[in-house]
Amino acid sequence: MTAPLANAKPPTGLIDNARVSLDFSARGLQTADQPWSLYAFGIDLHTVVSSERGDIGTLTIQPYVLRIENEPQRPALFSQDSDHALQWRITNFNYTGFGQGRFNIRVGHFEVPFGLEQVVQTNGTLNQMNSPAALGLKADWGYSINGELPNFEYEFAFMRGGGNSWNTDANGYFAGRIGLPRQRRWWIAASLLDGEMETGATPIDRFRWGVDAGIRLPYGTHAMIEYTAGDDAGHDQQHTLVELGFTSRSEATVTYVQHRNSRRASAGPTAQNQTSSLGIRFEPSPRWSGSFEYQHQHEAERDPGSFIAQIRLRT
Amino acid sequence: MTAQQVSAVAFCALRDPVNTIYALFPEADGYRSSVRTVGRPARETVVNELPATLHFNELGRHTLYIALKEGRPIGLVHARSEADEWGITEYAWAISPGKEIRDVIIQRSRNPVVRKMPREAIVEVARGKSRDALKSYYTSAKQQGQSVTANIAIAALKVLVITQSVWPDEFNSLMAQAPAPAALPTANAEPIPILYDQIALTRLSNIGLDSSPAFRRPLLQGYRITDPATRKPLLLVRAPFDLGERKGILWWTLDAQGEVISVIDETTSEPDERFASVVGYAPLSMKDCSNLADLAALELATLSRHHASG
Repeated sequence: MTAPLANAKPPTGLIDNARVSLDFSARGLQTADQPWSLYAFGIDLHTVVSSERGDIGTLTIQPYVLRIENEPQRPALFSQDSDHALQWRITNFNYTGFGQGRFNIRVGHFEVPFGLEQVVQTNGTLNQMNSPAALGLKADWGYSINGELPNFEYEFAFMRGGGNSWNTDANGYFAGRIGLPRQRRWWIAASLLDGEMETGATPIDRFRWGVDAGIRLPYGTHAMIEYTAGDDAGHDQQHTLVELGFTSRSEATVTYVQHRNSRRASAGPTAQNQTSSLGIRFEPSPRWSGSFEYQHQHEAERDPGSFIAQIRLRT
Repeated sequence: MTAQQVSAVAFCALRDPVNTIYALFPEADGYRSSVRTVGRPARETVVNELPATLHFNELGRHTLYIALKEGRPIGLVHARSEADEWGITEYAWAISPGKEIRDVIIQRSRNPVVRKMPREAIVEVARGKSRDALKSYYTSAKQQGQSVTANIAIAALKVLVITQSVWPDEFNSLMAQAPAPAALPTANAEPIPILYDQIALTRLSNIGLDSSPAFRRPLLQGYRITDPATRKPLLLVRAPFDLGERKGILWWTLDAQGEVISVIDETTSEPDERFASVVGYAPLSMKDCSNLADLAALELATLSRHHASG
């Protein structure tokens, strides 16, 4: 007997297996104090490199140019309230040739393996998880081992500590998450982070441990929770996020309610913040989505509410 | 998020359904991805051939996974979403060397009936059925108001039609890939999609072989061949085995009465001396067995008699 399927020309990957999209979004926040806006334009490239004997790895490249206007609480990426910057969102190569999905090696810029950020797609969306608040950053340059087995999934990484920037004075840190596979109806996972990162003017020693869990309930409802604790150079930190969401039957509409609680000790008074959010995302086609979120800052002395809206277009 | 769930979100959300691929093909030790565009031609094919359509959200770039064993393709895995009155059900379909549905896993579903259905009940709707048989099943189920099984049947039909339309090389060339020893009469070999179908399992259970002492059943591949000398039908089975110090892949040939014609080692292409005692033997029950080789022969003899009877 012959092996005719082996005669089918296997894709070379880079071209045959590529997905490419131009991605544009415009976001505006309206508060009583000062409205600001954020524009993002980028390329989203994803491809699988294959050989006859199987997949070799996955390449993702996402360079985005961002422009902010009048944003007083700008991310570290920007140096002025109105500024532009190049952001490497998720840009890495995940080598899968060893264990075919069970044991992979990732190199590049990717999400810090910690908490709900690992299981929820937040890039370019309003519906964010807690990594920016709890860890100081979402993604960083580094390398990791990762994989998926029948009873658990994992990723353990060493990261540089500079976030979007390759150059950093930080010594780097370890971060890892291990938990039940996310495809299950419910999951639970544990995370750990320890080392030095540079999310402010100077590097800081940061330690975090966390637990996250989620469940898919009937009628398109989901619930998630993340608890993170640790310290920054000896000053205790605690962060909690709870989300309840609903997805429509066609999956074109997602609504969610979030509550976040953070407690940050420092040399001065301990800062406590509580924020509740109500959001909706409308995706009538693969080409565009519209999102809206109301945020309520419980500790604000005046004007606690703000509105954010975003429209996103993809080719 | 699987390759099929991407809508207006970034591609970094894509993840291979690793556990699903190995659950559908436990004998696989790897897989290869093939990304193609499901576009207007595929939509027209579905509309022309089936009582169904493709929603525009089902179009775009999709991934087919080719399950591999020792570098050789052994089947296809194609995940697709289907909508019903409750919402989206995401199926991961396994397509066998016979170009039919071999297995399916429900990755998620909002339909409470589907969520509670045993996996075997879902699989049986589509397993081993030709396209015409699936269309007949769908029509009958719709007429009887059995919406859940009708939806499963139409989902299976769509995945077969779309896979053939969008990945013609991989689909049309789908055949067992095992390199049979040259001495075996493999011309016009017809793969048996399900060697251990429900009736075969019942017959094996009736003679005391609920489980196999000799084989890991999902790894066996069966073919109908013809003896070139007598023109009589034979069963050919590729059977990996691992019994501690005895490990390898053997090719068994049996006639319609269950008599063992030959047992050939795949590596040497020579008769395997360890099983020489069963050549010419046609065991009928456990009483005819005194060692592991006899038990292996009894299991395959039972399968041979079953598949010869049609």
